[in-house]
Amino acid sequence: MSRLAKPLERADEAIAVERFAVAYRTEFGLVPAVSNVSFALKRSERLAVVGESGSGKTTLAMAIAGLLPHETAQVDYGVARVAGRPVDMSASRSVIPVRHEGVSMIFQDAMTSLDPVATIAHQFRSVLGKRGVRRSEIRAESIEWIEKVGIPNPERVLKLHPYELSGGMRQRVMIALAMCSKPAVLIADEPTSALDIVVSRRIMDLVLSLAVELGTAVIVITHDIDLARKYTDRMLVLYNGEVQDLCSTDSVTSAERSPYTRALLDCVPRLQDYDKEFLPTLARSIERAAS
Amino acid sequence: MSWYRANRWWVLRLARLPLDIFVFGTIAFFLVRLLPGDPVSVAISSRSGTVSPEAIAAVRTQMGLDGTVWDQLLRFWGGLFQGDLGHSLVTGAPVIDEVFSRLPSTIELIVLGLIGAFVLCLVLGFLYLRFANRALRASIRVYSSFATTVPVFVVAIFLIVIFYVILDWLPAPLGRVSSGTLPVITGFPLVDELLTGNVDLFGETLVQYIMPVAAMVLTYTPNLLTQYIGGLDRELVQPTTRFQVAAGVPRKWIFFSVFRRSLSSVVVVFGLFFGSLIGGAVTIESLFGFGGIGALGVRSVQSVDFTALQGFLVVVVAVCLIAMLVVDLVNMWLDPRRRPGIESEAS
Ligand SMILES: Nc1ncnc2c1ncn2[C@@H]1O[C@H](COP(=O)(O)OP(=O)(O)O)[C@@H](O)[C@H]1O
Ligand SMILES: [Mg+2]
Repeated sequence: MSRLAKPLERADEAIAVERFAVAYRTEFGLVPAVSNVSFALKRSERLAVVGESGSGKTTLAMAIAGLLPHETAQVDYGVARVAGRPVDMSASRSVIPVRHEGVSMIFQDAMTSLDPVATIAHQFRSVLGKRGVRRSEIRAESIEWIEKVGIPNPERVLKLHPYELSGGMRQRVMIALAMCSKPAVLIADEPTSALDIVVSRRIMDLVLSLAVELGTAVIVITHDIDLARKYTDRMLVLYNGEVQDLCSTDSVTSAERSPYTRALLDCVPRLQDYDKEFLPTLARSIERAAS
Repeated sequence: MSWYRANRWWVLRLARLPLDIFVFGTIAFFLVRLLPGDPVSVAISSRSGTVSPEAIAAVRTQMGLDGTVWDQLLRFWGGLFQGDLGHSLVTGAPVIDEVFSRLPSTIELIVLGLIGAFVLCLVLGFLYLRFANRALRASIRVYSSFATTVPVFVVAIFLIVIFYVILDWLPAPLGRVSSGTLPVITGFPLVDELLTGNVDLFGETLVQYIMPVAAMVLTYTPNLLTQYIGGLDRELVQPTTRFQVAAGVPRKWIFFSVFRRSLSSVVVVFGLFFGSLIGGAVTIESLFGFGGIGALGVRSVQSVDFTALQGFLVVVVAVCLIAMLVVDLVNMWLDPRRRPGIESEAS
């Protein structure tokens, strides 16, 4: 394929998926968890995936990143491209899943995500170390990344193990590790659900400023609608594995949204609601929206 | 001082070793004296005619069994601090010499068996993780389920029947080739044969070791393997592994990391069954006519040889304690969270 054959508009496309579907292999056979999801993101664009627990957000994210092993789940897709290149989703013969090149992912719990028995230096080396790169260069780059995520005294941090860091520092190290391979897409699965609001906003600011710097598209998975509205350009509303809405974040409140989306928005507590006896819940909101 | 803080974990652990040996030695001292039979009357019974009370007292003093138990204990402690375990009541030779002339050959067998089992465990663990082949993984799992079910001598007898009696590929289990013919340098048969340049003997000994070592390896590998496979299965689905994939860590590194994270459960097992390993080695030695530390233990019980028996116990336990020390240190080195004084937030 010649370079000219590539459509021009794909030049700054970070990721595109079409007719994406995931089904888990269980003892009762294939159980669909996500069906018919399509979306595309440009570089530096931000997408929020929102929906209640069990709606398939994590499943979608893991499948996009290539983290679902063949024995666990069956992933079907029409088209999937990362940074303009088609993703090779042929099943891996290994027990360790094969990552989709260019897609990084961070998780809620940095403590369990980082390797507990390896030093931070070792963990950077495992991502940055490639054939022909000298150790001193890797070290310099690691230090640069640790500084970039706002951790003081990087030389010291390199020598430490994850359990010797504070929770906030671990979160930052995880972000640095996920970003230092300069991915086209970063997926953050409820990155801040365990943090208090101040720290969580600071972490989001950090992720997004790094993403802008590297031109990385960000997919934020969250059930925090406020966070999604503050930090993302577009919103994908998932319910029961199906897309309810895919719209720009600003227009999510407009009237033509699906009943489910409106119900979800109703559940966001507003300050003026706090004197009400009952706060809206999803079930009641769905009933109301459907009627 | 910062050196101490950084290295406290192994310094403290090392300092505990002599204390443990001392405590156990004292327990052994009392246990031995619960044996039925009086070594003095055993020694005297071999003499003809009547023996005067003075002669009995003389023998008692000569054997170091005069005075109260507490006097004897003090003497035992004094000797222990100087590395002197007294003289055998039967042969009169220093117990230390008796023990250390037999211990190395037993240790050699154990070390070969352990290394073999460890290597086989690593290889099978590697195959288990590396290949998604169902049949291969299932058979490795079945083999690992034999842990602690089949005694080592059963496996050894099977090997003898198959490879000596039926096939006649391997030599008869009739004792060591070099027994008593070589100058003793280190006491380890293989090492001595190499040091004295007896390459032929060395080769013969190796051939002779095939069955006993294979029996130990086959018997002990499942013990390690169950732990290892369990660890691999567990670590494979840990968020850590998932994050490594998601961050773009090359597959080789991820495999290595999973292996390493699973290894400490294997090392723990080493410590747990080292004692039974000595038991297994003793059985194997008598089965193959090797003679070793086990024979000394049996002889000293039969002849009510208090000093030899307590010395034997102290040394065997010291060997076990040292093995456990090494296990602990290796584990703390592999997984720093196990070092004392480390508080982990993870629960
Ligand atoms: N390993 C699995 N095997 C079978 N079903 C699963 C598995 N993981 C998740 N599911 C199911 O898939 C659905 C979506 O789960 P998930 O993607 O975790 O939702 P969310 O992240 O939105 O809370 C749920 O109904 C869940 O029970
Ligand atoms: Mg989830």
